[in-house]
Amino acid sequence: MEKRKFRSKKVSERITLAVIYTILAIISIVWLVPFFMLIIISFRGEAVGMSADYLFPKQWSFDNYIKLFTKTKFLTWYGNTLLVSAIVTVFQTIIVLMTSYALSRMRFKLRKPLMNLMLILGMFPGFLSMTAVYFVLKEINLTQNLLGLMLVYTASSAMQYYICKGFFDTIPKSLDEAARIDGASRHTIFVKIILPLAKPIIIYTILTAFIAPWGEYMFSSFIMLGDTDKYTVAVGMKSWIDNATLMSEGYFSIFCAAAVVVSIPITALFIWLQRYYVAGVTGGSVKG
Amino acid sequence: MVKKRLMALLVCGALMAGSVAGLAGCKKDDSIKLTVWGSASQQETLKQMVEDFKAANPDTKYNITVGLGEEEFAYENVQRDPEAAADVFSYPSDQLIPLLRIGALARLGGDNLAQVKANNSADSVEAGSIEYGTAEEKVYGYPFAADNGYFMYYDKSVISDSEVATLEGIISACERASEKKSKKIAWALDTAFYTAGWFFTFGCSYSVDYDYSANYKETVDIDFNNEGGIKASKAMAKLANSSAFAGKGTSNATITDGFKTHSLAVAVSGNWNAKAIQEALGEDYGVCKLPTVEVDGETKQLYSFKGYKLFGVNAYSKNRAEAHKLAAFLANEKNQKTRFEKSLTSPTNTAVAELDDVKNNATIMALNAQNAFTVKQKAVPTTFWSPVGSYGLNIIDKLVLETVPEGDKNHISYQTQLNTMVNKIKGNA
Repeated sequence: MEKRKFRSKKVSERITLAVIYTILAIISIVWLVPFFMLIIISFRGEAVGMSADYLFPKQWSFDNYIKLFTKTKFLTWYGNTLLVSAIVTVFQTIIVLMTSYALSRMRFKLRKPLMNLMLILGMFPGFLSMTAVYFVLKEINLTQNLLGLMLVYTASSAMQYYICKGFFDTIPKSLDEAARIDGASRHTIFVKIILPLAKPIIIYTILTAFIAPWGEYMFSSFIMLGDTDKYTVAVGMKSWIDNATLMSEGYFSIFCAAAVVVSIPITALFIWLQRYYVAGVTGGSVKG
Repeated sequence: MVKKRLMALLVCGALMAGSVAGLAGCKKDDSIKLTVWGSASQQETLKQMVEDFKAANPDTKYNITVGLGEEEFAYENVQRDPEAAADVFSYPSDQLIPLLRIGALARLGGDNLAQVKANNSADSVEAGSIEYGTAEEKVYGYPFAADNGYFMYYDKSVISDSEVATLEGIISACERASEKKSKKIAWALDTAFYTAGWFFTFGCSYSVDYDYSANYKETVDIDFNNEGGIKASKAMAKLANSSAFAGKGTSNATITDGFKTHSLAVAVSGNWNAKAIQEALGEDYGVCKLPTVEVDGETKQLYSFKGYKLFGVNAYSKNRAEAHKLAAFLANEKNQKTRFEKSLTSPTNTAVAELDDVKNNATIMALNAQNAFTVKQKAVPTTFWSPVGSYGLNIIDKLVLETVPEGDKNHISYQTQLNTMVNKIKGNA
């Protein structure tokens, strides 16, 4: 009796596991297929568009990549995007960290109202203000200009303090107090004590700050209008999709090649920074 | 402490103002700055033309930028900020009124106007003007392409010359061929641009009165819900119910891909797809006007829209006279010839249209043959596109029927749905 009971439990466990793994496998296939398709199509030698009824190329070739870098303005767009994203990342990271530190450690009169205000403002999608932002930029002559784009991306970055502040809150205040007693200024505490302990959240901030402008379409297309020399990759690549003639000339495969190239820095950044994600330990730093 | 902060703020402000002023300042030089927008596939051609323009005017120092603005989105792009939009941009004739509404088009006058009228077909000049031919006539564009219409491409190996003349012949040929390998008919019945042609075929029409004094306020009259509308619905259903019909979602990309993979035998499209289809079909490349269709024992030639593309001069341009000069140059005889050679664009220039190469080109001949059966796409009601496209979609989805059996709640009769459509277009819904 007992043996049978034991066996049936094992069987039911196995069935459950099998079901779970099947579901997970299906989900991961569904999730991976688009990426897989993108890479495969980027090696397509024949000029067929997105509605071809087959996936694997009839001719494999690197032509799309060669055309991408020689015939189109992709390299310019890539450079623009990289420049904008890099600069925005630096400034946004600094601003977010400083805001979070101030809101986490300092107590001042408008702290709570400020936090609430930023929370409420953050609830409105950014593009609601697009037209207004555009005309402000126009007044200071920064439309159709990469600097204007950087300004737009950086301007509201302080509002993303939430997660970072939450992390800072978990770092014991006694550390600050100990340092203050030893004569450290706020600045020293921030740089020498909080930041070294907050590596994972810095990495997180850098990643989010980089990814947002890297793929952003709405603002950049709005600000750049028709100036192709200042396009970012998203706007440039969309302009191929919008043109029927280009699409019929096989630009869809070039588009896929571009998408693969675009994904490289993000992937690299992730792999490089991932190891820091793990090491987020504050335990043991306070004694007694 | 407060003083220190104030100082910091002031310094910051001064720095910012300085950098901005510097940015604005460094752009100043004595050359004439112009921007011109064209479609993504025309960028190289346009750049070459701009170089030619500079060479033709060696006495003036130009600084001309070629930017990107798809004709299809001309209004959308310009209205965002007319002041920052290009000095010269191309637009399709049906966007004339919307562009005028935002005051973005400059009027042609004097020599420019005389030249445009002398060298281009009257119909194409009319497409970019209001009250053409009257004392109040105002012309707002330099026509350069007569290609915004559609006709039929077909695979000669599937359909014979005798079958291609009638819709019935085409359907039976494709159904027969599909028994071996799928050979479909691509016809974007769910896109108003193509749906409308079926209505025009049976005498349906619309008219729009513009109140020029009230920012072109529209009063629409449309009779798409009359007997002709019912016949048009029956004709569309004939195609949509065929097993050879490619279904909804036909786009430029699905058409060219369909011919490349030989899954299409027939497609209705314009000459923007001509090059790609010609390459895909090679020897079997067939092109002609739309077929006739038989409804209730009556045979009718199918109609299409006909539109033009024009170069407009931005009314907000700071160098308007020079912009006119550039626009006139881009639309001149030589450049229309170049456009024909490079991308098979049908010219509006009468001298180019008369060239043997142009006249005898199969694609241009098809477009010209269809021209007798077209409605000019100019003063189209703003509300026209979406309801008409949805009606076409209803036909494809078989949601609308000629007569609905009693008690059937899943279908609507042609008449009821047409009435709804007309009301939406008139703005009564």
